[in-house]
Amino acid sequence: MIFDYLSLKNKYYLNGFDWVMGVIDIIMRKTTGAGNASQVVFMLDAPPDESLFTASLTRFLAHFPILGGTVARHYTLTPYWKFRDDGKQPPVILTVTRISEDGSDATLMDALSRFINTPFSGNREHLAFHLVYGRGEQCIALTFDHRLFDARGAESFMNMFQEYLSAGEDSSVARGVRTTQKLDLRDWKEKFKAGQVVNRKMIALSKESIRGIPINYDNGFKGFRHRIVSFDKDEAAKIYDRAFAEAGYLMIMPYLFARVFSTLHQIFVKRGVEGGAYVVPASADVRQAKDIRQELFFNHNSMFFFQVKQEDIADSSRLLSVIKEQMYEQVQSRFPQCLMTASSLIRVAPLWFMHRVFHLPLQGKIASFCFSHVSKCSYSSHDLMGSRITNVFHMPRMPVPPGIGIFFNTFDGRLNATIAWLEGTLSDDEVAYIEEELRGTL
Amino acid sequence: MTQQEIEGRLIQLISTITNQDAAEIAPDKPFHELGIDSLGFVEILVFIEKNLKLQLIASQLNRKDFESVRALSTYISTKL
Repeated sequence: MIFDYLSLKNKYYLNGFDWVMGVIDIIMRKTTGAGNASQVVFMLDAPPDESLFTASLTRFLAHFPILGGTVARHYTLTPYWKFRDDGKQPPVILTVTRISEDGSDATLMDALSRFINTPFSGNREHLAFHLVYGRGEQCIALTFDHRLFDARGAESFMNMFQEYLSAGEDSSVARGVRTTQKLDLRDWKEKFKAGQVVNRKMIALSKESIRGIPINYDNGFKGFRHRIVSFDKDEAAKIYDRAFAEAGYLMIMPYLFARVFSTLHQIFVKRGVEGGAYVVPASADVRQAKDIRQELFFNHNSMFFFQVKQEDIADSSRLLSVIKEQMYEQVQSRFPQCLMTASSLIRVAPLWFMHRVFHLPLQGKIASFCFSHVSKCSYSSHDLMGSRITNVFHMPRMPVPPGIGIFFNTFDGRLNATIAWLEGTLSDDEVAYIEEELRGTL
Repeated sequence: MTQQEIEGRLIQLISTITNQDAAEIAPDKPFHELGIDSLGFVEILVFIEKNLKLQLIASQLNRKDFESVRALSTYISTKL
């Protein structure tokens, strides 16, 4: 197998958004004790073989020296990912947990929660695979450093693992993965023009104070908690029909977003959090390659920013219009692409410095909550390690602040909503209310 | 611009958005079956406004007009 990274001396130059992910990683380590990580979970209908799991993963991972990489600087100050070049196996954690035999009353979700809240150790550890045997249910979870993958990249990596299991050395792994990226030290005029677009948007957003639930940083680091609200094929089909009727053809994302807005607004009101406007970032996939394997590693996402005022929320059709108009306006001004382009300008700044300036334009409140909708699942098979997949969902750690996020994903016609919150930001009753509202109003 | 020309331009755009070859895009398939999501569809609407000077987001389009690339290009050609 020959990877083309050899020609670039084992370097992958990071883009601006990768650098932003690095800044968020530092913020999260300082505020929660663990970095900017996420977890994709594959629920299986039958327990996979443990020895096959460890042996095949060990073989598969040996193909990717990129996994044990660290961040370094080129003499131009451009940051890059330096691959491990000592020929050793990448330091990836593999665990097997048997909840049914440990004598506790812990659940599968408790185990998954523990994995996502465990920080990676050192600067070379970025991945952990977990096989969990629960009581009547089992799963394989991949916990990943967000600096290495985005959500679709992680799904694709698992897809590649499944292909490797089926086809061995003839699989797509052997056909190669693009693990090179150019320095991108050209087109400065274009970058500064993109910076102007971003700057204008940020100034517009900072004119009103941002409504946010205060975070209590006392009493040490707190972990993230997750609740998965899953809709089966029939329920999801009905949601798509209602989205069509209320928001228009293919407007599922604005529809889900509006429902989440209305629900979280009720919690903000009950908490007495008033004044200012809601500001919510929503991620957007900006991949350009025909083959996702060519944009598998690192981040290929950008952001939309939505600002919603109190008076826009009471009427659901008005809220939908506001969201659609803002989405249209940002696509028109190419805001997500401009944010991606302009962010490359900040790569020269050290991460500790960026951590301090990150808060400046919005006075320490970055957002009210986070929202994401991944409309396509990049895992194309229905099986994993000989077991049928019954569902795939994500458990992200959200940037803090705001420490609250709702993440939608789809798998085989199913729709999942993951409610993620930093312990203490939402009460159990509030999370139950969100789940009830999503089930009742979507 | 004829209906066929509009159809051709929409197919080129969808090919860019969905990272598929233009030849693989069937003009009579619904947009969602071509891999278009909310964001992709807004990109199509912005493209139509920029290039064909038609604002469709606020127009009274019905389900039939969006049935396929062909249906949409037919609708657009009647409005130009």
